[in-house]
Amino acid sequence: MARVELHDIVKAYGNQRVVDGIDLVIEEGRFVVLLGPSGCGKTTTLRMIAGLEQVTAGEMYFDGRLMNHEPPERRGVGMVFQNYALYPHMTVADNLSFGLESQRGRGSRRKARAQVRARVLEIARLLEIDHVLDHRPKELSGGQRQRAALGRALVRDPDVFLLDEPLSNLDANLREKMRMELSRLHDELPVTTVYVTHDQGEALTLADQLVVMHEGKICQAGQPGDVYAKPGTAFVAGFLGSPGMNLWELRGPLWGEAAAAGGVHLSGEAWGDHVGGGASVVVGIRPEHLKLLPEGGPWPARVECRVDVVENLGSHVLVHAKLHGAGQRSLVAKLETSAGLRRGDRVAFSAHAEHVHLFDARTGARITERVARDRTSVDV
Amino acid sequence: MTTIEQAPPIGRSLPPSGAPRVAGVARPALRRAKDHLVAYGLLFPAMAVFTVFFFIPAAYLVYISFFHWGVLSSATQFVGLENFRRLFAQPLFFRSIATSGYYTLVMIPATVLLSLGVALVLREAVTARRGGVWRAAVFLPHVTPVVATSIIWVWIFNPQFGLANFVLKSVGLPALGWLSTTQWALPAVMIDSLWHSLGLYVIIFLAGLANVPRELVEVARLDGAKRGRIFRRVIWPLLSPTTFFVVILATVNSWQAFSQIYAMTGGPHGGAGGPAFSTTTDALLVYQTAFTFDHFSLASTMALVLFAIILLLTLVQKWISNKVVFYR
Repeated sequence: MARVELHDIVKAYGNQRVVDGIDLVIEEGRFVVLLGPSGCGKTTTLRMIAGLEQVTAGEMYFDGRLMNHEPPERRGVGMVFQNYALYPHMTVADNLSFGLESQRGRGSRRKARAQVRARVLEIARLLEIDHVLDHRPKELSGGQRQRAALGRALVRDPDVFLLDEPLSNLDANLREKMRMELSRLHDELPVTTVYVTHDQGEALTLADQLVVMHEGKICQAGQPGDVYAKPGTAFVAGFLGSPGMNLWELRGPLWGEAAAAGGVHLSGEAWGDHVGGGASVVVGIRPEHLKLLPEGGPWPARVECRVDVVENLGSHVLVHAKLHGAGQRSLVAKLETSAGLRRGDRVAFSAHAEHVHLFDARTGARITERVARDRTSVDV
Repeated sequence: MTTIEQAPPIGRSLPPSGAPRVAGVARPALRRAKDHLVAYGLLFPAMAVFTVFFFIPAAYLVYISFFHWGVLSSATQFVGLENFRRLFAQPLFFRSIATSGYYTLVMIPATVLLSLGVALVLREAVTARRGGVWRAAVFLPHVTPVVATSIIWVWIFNPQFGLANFVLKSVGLPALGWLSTTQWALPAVMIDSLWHSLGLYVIIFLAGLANVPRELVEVARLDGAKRGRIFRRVIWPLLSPTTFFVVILATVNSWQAFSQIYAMTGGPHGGAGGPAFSTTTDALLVYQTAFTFDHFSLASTMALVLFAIILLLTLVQKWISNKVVFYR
């Protein structure tokens, strides 16, 4: 197990910075997930940790040892690639033993071979692939290939375990199963793990620490529950959650006890202790926090709209609606199947004050604890 | 009472009741006939060329192997296996097979090792700016006419003024007779052939290397394997189909080598195939038998035997490849 530190890490191709000044400390044995959309720099960051990409600027340490110029084979990392990258011409046993044999010294060859065999069998049993050790990768199912790739990375007992979207090639059922397997595996072998994905379900369920990336930068890092409950930026709010948070911009200057714009009404309570002086804000409410309410009533946040599409997903319905007023603003609400809404219904949704998130419209940053209670109106 | 009807299988709709079934069948049949007509129409030009210049001559070659036939004499006389008997009674025929075998046996490993080596170096250079220029430079000899470049190689191998002996002397080695000696004439031709054909094989290997997934090499590096082990255990096995293709191509090209031998060993060096028949390969003997000595039937018999030898070699290689070549 190793403690991994990234200090102001930059990766640039020519003038283009694909990773732009990342600072991250991963404690020993933690399971960190790098989450972000395609092209956000998460895989490049992982490859830099593996040593497969050179760091353009910044410093990277494993247990206090500078790693910037260490070749991949001397970093003690095991990596699982998106397409598994199993050697297609070798059996599963050979795939697993290749790394051990590559590192084997010139001691007693027979003894070393026996040790390799024993270690391969141990890992194969742990991953429940001991019955396919003499099969080639193309003879395996998707899940077995996945386990073989995990086994190959784990068999050398790495200090850092890197996974690059390892579940993305599996079907939905198998993905869910393997997600649990990975979680169990990490409990049994608590290796420092860095896991890259664009699937927030995987990220939220697996991570000890969630790192959300966007355009080469870290937007927010923290415990998954905290990041979900208090997104640090409007991007994180919109990206995290399925569907993501509803975000509406209210153009400033914003003053006073209440604000209303394009179907969105916020009372002083919803503003709460959040917004300060006069700038435009982005208001965010998660789909599951929107409640269907009758007209009127003193609600902290109220959104008026007309139902456009109702998607029945079995356990719940997703209501897509167009907001009243100017523009093409829309809303998604996650409701019980018994809601009984139809296309064209005029409805109002509400949310509690603690579920209303406010972000700076210019920077996208979360607006917190900066209070100004002298707001009176909203100009749309 | 509610009744539940069996739904038709997905993807198969039931014909409307009373609809004439024949009409439904006739339409696809007509379309299929049309498709066939278009396909054969498109194939016709190529098939015509192949038939006129390949299939008919090949069949005719087999035919005249059993006849006494001359290009200027219209009379043909069936001689049965007489041509084969005469052929196998000729020591020069067996010597030409031995020469072709020697030429092929040297050319195959030399071609594979050299072209693979150059391809590996060039693959590294692909990321460099001038990678394309190097690839073009290596391929360039292959697009030049064999006869023209062979004449240049004759100058290079000139015993008195040639570049080859100049290089040998400048590194302290004795000058060689090259094309004028029985010992070095065929190696000289091999050097020319290698130089001329290398570009093609390099490009084939480069394509093969491009198909080796980058992740496999990266995983092997992470596994702690050194460059040699990565090549031996990962790249080389995945290149085996490419290598097999190159071996087959090199075998056929080597066994059929003609132009460079004819151009380099003809004229002042005592007639093509010299000196003292040391460069008379099978293909050259076929040519000389037909066009110098006007024994077309015998030459056809030789060509038939040459075909059988190449076919046998290819079958053996194929048999070996089934054991060692890995297809993904």
